Amino acid sequence: MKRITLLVTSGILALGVIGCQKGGPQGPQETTSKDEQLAGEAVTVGETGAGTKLFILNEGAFQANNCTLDFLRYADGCYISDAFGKMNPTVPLGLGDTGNDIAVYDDKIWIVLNGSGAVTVLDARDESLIGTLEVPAPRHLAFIGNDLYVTSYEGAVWGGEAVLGAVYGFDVKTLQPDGKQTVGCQPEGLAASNGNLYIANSGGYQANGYEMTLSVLDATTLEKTDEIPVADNLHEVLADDSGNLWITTYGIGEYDAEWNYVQTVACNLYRYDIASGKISRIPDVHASRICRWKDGIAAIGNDAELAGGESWSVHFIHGDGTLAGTLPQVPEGTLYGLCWNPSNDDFYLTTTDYTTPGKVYAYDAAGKPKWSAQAGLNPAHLAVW
Amino acid sequence: MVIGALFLCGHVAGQNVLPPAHVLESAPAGATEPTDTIPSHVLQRSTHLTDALRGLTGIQLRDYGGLGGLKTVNIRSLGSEHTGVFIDGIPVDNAQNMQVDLGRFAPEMYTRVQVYNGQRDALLQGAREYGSSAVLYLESAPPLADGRPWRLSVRMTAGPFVAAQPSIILEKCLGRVTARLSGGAVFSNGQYPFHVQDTRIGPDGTLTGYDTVMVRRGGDLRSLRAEGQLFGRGWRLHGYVYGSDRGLPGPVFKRAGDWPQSRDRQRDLNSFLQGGGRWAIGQRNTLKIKGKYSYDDLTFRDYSEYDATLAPAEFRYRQHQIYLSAADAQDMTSWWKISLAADFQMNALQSNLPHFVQPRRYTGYAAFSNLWVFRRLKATASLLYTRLWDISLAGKSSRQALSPFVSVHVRMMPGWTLEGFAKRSFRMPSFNDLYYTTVGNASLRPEDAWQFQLGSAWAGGPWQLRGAVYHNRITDKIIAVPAASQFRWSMYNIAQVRILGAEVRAGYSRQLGPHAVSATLRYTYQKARNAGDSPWAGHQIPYIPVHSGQTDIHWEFRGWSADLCLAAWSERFSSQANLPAYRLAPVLTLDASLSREWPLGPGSLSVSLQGRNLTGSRYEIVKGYPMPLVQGLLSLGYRL
Repeated sequence: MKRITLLVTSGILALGVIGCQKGGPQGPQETTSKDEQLAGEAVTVGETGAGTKLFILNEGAFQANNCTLDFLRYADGCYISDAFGKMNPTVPLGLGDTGNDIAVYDDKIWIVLNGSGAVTVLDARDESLIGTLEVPAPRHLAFIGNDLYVTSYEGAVWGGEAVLGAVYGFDVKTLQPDGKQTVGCQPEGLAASNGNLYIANSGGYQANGYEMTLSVLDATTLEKTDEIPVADNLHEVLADDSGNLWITTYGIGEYDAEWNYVQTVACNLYRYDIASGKISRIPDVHASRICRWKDGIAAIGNDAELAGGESWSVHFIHGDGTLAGTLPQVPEGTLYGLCWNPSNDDFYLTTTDYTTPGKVYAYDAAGKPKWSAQAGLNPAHLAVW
Repeated sequence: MVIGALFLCGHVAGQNVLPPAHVLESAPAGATEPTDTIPSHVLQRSTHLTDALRGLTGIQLRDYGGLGGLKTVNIRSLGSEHTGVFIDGIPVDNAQNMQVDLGRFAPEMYTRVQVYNGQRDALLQGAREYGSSAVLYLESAPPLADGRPWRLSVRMTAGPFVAAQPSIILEKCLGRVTARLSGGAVFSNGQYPFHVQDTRIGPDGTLTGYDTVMVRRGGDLRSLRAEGQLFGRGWRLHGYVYGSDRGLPGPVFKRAGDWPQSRDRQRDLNSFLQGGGRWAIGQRNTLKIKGKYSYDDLTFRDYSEYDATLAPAEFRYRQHQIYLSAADAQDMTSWWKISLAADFQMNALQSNLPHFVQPRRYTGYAAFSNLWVFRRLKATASLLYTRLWDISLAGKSSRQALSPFVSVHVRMMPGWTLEGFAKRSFRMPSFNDLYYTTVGNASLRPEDAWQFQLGSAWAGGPWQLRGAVYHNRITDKIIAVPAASQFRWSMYNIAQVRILGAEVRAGYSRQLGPHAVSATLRYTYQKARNAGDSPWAGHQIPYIPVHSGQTDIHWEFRGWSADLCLAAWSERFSSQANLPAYRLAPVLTLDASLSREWPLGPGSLSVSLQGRNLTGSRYEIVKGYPMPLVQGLLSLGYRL
């Protein structure tokens, strides 16, 4: 029976190899990496000037140990699934459980694995494992200089004893821990700007009310310098190049008289001008997830997401808070992740149905569909390198 | 169905008579052959009920591993919620999630287990017995049918890393009433080694992978069970109490550092008191009344895996159930019998979950059934009407349904019958489906199941053959799979499922001088396809193998007995997307046991050695829940 398994596995791999037809111009980037021989499915023609790779982190299902990393190689337009598994076949239990964030920094891929309690560090050139940082229930990450910062729920469980969350610091070269500071309950996103860290506290596990502030830390000392009230149940925070912080909320849902779960407060988007300290809500934009876009941000949202609403939209917003436009054609399904490529202005979206493999869609600067590919389960977080 | 002891206790104690073939409560009038039966001798030697059940034709046993892992049955891919479990004709329920954990019942209490697809073709049944797509009957018989005044048996089972499992049964004659008292306990640390492994072609083109031995931890179990039965003439009473405290180790996934997989714990108290009786009214009419009260109390504690000093989140669920049933059967003519049945049931669920709606459900069932017998032809037709009312803090709602059933049996020649049935049944969403605050989905639609079957049975000499082909159609099937732990379920509607199946059972039993040999071969083919409007239409639904089968061989010789059980099933998928990432490999397992019984003092001593999974198969029934490798158990028993 084991032999049958092997035959099937190798058959599938062989199909993958045959399926990829290399074509298009070869990139000028020097790709000395060992993953060059990985062949996936050619989903687009190769292009230059777009970067080397687009990484897609598939969250997997909670406690199913099926978080996977995919990438698109710009040089030949090949989409490679489960690159971590293919490049690290001897690592027991693969990448791990429930990916929650990804970033490329210092030519390394930093993957937050919420279920595994780890930040896994890979070489961006060939996805080979460099090291694993232990962080309890990690959520999101940010970098300043030589330092990595990760938000953590610490030991909190839903409905259990109230526990303050924390920010953990690590040196990106030595991978050694170099500091920790407690913040609010269940901290989610964090952003780095001008030597400060801004942490969005959610309080999502709290029985007696949500958190509503951004905690501000001095990145060098990790001393808490300020608390900025924004709104209940904060989610993400991003810093743009125009001196703003963009903050989203999870929204609030509750049961109505007929026991239908309805969203009473939508996933809202706030802009915080760091210099003036002014905070304003961007009207008519619902933001379940945001990413950097030109001088401002892009947002995917739904006016009734927690209640399972399906009216999805993608907004592009300038740094000054004005609406730059919307994506004309939104793919079917639940929008789950988004990313902007600063090199060629391409824009990426991911979709999911939570139980079967999702998809990645690429659009050009004019919003025209460019390519799409089947990703893993719950593709949610993307990073361009 | 309750017919009571046919024998009054006599005074033949001390005589070493072999008990006659077990006198069961006689099967209800008109009952036909079940799809499959587990006989008494298999139940008596099993240490766990699920060990005996898993060979039943068409059954899928879901097992989360270890003694404390949840164990449920699913018959012909219809889902465990469609499988009614009855103890002596009275339903075992779990209104919260409709998953009856069979791990807490003791096999030695029962004389046989029978499976019927569709329903049992019988009169004088409770109306609820007409409501499921498949029925599993656990049946006990009055003790001391051989006329002894009392009997005592004790047993102790232990294994190197699993459990100590003592049990006792005392049977006693009390004048015109016989009693059976039984107690048992299970102590297990739940630790067993398992492999995590993967093989693939590495970046350099060579075959590579990993194979690591890990130890399953956090799945300890302590349980205590006490039950008693009283059998009178035409009535019986059964009381049951079970308490347990167990760890829920959860699925295996990668954890950094030394953080454990899970520290979650569950404490249960399950109890019921049930009974019934039957009375003849005149020559041609019989009345049967039965009832039950059950109380289940479950406390789930979610401890932090990262900080053992923190207090856990504690969620408590209490369920009350009242069940009352009256059935009446009347002989209209010599060839036509009818039966009317009316059942009432109340289920209440209370919980300390935030925003919980404390639902109560009142259900009324009314069934009318007919049985016709003309020479070699037997036909039945029944109609069940179900109406339920849900009352909760969220408001009131009501649902109703009609479930028709027809069957025909033709005796072609002695020993050979042809049979067929058609049935529509449905299952209401459970309280969890509707109201569970973190995964409940009020918009879930109820499941509607149509079943059609054609079958044939043949018996001749030492041989017994039985085969069936069937087609099941389910609309709005709800698939429930534990997400975060066994206790938190995520659920989704797969809109349409079409199941095409075939099953064969061949049995052989023979006495060859001092040797008694029997063998049973079972094979099931099931294509259970998602037929809805989905990119994964045509794919096999999760956890259902296309091929499955089991061979059991039993041999007895002068106090020795040996058993061999070989079970195998083909690949399965844990997702409705049948992709390699969700594939579970085919499995083959071999179990064997050898026992010997000696007369010792006034009674007899038995020693039994069991080996489970002797092939050392590394397998999971549910993805992420590894099953133990080779496992040995030693049982010592003494019978007076």
